[in-house]
Amino acid sequence: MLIEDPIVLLVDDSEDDALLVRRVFERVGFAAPLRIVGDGEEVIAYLNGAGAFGDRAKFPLPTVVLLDLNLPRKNGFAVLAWIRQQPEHKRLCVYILSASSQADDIQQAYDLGANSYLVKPGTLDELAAMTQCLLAWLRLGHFYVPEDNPSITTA
Amino acid sequence: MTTKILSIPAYQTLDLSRSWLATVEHSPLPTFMVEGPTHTVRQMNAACCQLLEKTPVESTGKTLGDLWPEQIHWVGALDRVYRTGQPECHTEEQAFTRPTVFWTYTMWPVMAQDQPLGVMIQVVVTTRQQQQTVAMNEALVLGSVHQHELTEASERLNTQLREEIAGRLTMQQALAEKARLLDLSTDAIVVLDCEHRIRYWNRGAEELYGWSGPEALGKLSYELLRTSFTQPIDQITEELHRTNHWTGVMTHTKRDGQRISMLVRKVLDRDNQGKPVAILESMTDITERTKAEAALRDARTRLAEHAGQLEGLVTKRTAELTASNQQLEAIVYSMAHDLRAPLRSMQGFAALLVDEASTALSENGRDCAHRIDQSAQFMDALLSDLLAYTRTSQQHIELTTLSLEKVVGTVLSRMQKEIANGNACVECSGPWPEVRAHEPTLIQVLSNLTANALKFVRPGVPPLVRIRAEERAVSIRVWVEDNGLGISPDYQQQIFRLFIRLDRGKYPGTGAGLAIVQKGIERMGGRVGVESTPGQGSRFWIELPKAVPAERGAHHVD
Repeated sequence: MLIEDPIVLLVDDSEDDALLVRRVFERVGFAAPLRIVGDGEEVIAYLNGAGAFGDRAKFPLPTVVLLDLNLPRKNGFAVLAWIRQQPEHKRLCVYILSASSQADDIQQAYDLGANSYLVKPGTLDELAAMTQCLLAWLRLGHFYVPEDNPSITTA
Repeated sequence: MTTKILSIPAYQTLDLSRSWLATVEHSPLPTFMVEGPTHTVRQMNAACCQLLEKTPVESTGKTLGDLWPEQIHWVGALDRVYRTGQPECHTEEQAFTRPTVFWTYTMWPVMAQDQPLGVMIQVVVTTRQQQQTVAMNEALVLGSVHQHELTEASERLNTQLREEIAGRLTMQQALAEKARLLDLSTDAIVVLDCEHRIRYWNRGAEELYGWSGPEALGKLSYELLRTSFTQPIDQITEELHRTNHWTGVMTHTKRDGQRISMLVRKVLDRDNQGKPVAILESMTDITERTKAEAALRDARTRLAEHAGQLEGLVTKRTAELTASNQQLEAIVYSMAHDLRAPLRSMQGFAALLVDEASTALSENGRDCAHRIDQSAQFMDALLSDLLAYTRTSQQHIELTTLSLEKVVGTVLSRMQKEIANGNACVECSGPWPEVRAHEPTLIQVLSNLTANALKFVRPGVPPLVRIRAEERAVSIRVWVEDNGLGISPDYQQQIFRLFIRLDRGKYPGTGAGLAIVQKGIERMGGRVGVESTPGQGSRFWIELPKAVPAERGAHHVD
């Protein structure tokens, strides 16, 4: 079984942050699998395949969700809790990517079932280093893959 | 026949006065007096001598037995009178004469200082028909004797009275003198009789109340002064009669209608038999004092109220300040946090500009992009340190007993890179006592001090850092000593303030390290300080509570 490059769904309301992440992904040659949504409701719609997100060729189910905590409409904790309650998404790999390094936030995220917690790096270089690290990890690991994910092919 | 004469009073106090003896001598009634138990004749008057056919010379000094060797029938009665002091009358019938005559002996005692001295005997010889007259005479004689005695008594009384009057005059003079002295008193001094009528009214009273002595005398004091009692008058009277004293406050009204507060001292005067006769009252006007006391009380109450209000205000303000301080720190924290987001973008895009568009940019443009990148990075460091500082001041601190050796070990292992980079030598010498501290905070504090020791070095001098502990009375002092730049005494206090840097530009950093040290130590109930001479290194110290063996376990400090 060959696992192609993992799909990363970035949830961040900051366009700047999202753009920087995209640039960094591009720089390390990994731009294609990155999908970006801007708030909590949108990520739920994406996962549910609601509306335009129904096109799984264009919006494939992600291998990992990079979830910001401070989100409009529905914050990261609520999204995480929702994901863990959905039978079809409860095993989805969710990494928190937040500016907060407060113990309370970290603890709550893990309590709600986050798979990891990353603090947003302060500089571009650090972000690049983190991204490379993350992608290397995603390539190495075995993640839960939903059945209908078209990006998974068998050899 | 013997009769007791009960109507004649006892002559207890009578002695034999000259005048009395003279009266007896000239009495027309035959009378003689005998003395002592042998009844020796002391005196026999002329009438008696005639009757008994004796001369005074014959009879005086003789006993009755000498005078009449034959038996005297009435000697028994005489003995009784002498012995008992009770007068008696004895009548004998002389039957051999015609007509029959009756000898009547009327006997009454003569006393001296309550002791029987003798007996006075009056002899009357009568016929039966004369009996009535004799009895009347007898009564007359006894009456006259009584009269005489009364006269004597009254004379004595008169003398006493004269003496008393003389004495009273002296007393009155003394009283007048005393009254004159009392008049000098500015206190009102009043004497009342038992019906509270004013009997004396000194000048002080005149001046104080406005009534002259003659106006006041004889008036009822409480009516004149329209007294308001602070306790029931019955109680006052009862206490006065029980203890002879009473002191208290009353309100009186002056002649002009002004009400005045008086401190009244009453003393009860009694006569020899203990019967109350007068009340001496001494009164002081305490209106001003009462007013002053009331004002003082009032002022004290107001002061206490003010103090209470102030205290409440201080408590409230302190609570408000604490709350607003916490609020501010929370705001600082969230601001620092939020400011980092746009900053990340600034730094990120500036870095992208440098990296990706460097060929399209001029030298100046690249420099600008680089400066934006550097400033953004420095600002991020500032915000990061501000976050660390506010976290130190806001986080929950729990003191536990910690091994200093372990904590120092942790610090050094975390700083291995810096130590190696700085080519530094770090000496740690035990012994390491245990302290009461919050482990993450203590690690942060010692890391910051060690980092400073490694950072502020003299050019060309390899850094030498020494960490050691010193046991004190109730605390443990940890020294972090270096051979670096040292700090001028002028700056030794201000370096502990947030974002204070002495060598801006030459050494990296934001100036938050020592502020975090101080805040952390403060939160753990310790102290921090520095000893330094510029050019000779610095010796920073922190003091923490010593771990007491019995005190192992958690202790909250919030």
